[in-house]
Amino acid sequence: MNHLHMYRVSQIPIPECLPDHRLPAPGREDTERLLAIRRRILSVAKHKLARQGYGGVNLVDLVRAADVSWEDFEVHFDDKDAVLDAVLDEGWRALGPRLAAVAFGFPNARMGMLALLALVANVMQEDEDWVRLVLFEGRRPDADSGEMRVSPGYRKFKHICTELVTRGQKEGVFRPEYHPHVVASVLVGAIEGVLRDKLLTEQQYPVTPYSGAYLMSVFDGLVS
Amino acid sequence: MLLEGHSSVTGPETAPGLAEGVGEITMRHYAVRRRIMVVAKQLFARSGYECVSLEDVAYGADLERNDFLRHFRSKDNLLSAVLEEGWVEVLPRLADISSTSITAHSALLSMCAFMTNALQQDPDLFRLMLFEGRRPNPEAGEIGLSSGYRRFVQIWRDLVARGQRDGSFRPTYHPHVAASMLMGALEGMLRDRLVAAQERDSTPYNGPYLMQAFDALVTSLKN
Repeated sequence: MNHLHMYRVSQIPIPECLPDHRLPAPGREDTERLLAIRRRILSVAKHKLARQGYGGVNLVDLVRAADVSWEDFEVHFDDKDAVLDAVLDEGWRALGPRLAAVAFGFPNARMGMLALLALVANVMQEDEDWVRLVLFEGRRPDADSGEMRVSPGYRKFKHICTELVTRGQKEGVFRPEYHPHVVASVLVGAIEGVLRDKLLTEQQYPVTPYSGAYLMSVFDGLVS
Repeated sequence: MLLEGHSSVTGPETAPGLAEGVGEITMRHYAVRRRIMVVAKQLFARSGYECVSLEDVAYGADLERNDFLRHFRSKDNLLSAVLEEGWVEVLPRLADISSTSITAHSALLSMCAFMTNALQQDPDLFRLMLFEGRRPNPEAGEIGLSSGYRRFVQIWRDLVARGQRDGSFRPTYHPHVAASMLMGALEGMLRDRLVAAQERDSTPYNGPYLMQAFDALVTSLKN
């Protein structure tokens, strides 16, 4: 039984740091300057998009807040969609190797899944701006095609979960009659639901039940 | 019933005793409002909220901008009305399922089945609920939630609490956290089903697979 896509995790494309086709002849100083500008834009964009929402941010404000020129901005990004995609991908790229290491570094799939869920929950608690973006802005309909755009990093995360479920089915940890993609959707959705409601509840109350102990007890139930 | 955020809009019924002709005006007003909401739902769901302007909706509904503004003052206002109208359809059914099910476990499975079927019947509404229903407020920075969604959350929390009393769930879980997990899992399946369909993915996000996985999740909260 193999319901998985015909590609490996490592083959899922993650964009390069710099758009090569727009770079000038690669002098070291030029490259460093371009990277610094890109980092500044992404850092400001991440916070503004997370706090004001995609619709509440306009590029004029963003360029001004990042203190860069339009020309410099246009070297890196075509539009607001490209900025949002880059912010999301940057977060996923930093997380990707840790996810794979945790997921497949345990002796069985159940422990790997538990560790994966705990890692994602911890990372998301450490970087609230990014989690807000992933949860509330990470999937947007494409204006032209009407299709839902899903970031490559998110696909990779989902793929790791699916591989873990498949491995767990081979090990007898998860029942084999479940479709691994559907189980991965359940697991990813469940953790997203918990993190989202944690954020929403914290908007209203200083103390919430979405604490480490409660989270781990439901994650444990989830993968058992 | 007046929809949230639209206190200035007249309802569909005409109060007894109104002068002749007023009822006709009210009905016309209501028909135009319905037309706007039908167009807006489709445009928001398929092009995304950000990419649709009020002019687009007015054009789609065959209205002048000023006529349009008599019904909705802003795009936010319009999205809220579309979402609330959707919840008005969904919530009573969920409440019925909750009150007529013998256990919380069976209620949750029936709710999962109902939501899955409802998605098939009205994919535009579900795209809006899944992808546009929670948005940061640009001024406050807080995530805005519709009142319908809040009632939806409360139904799930109440069900988990009930399940802890009737033995469907272990009492050690906090009902809010368990409800978040269950709602998130359902959303995850429905969302990935939409994405798989658009990508012509052969993954069978069909009823039996979804129900089987959701049943396993609900059961895991008991053991």
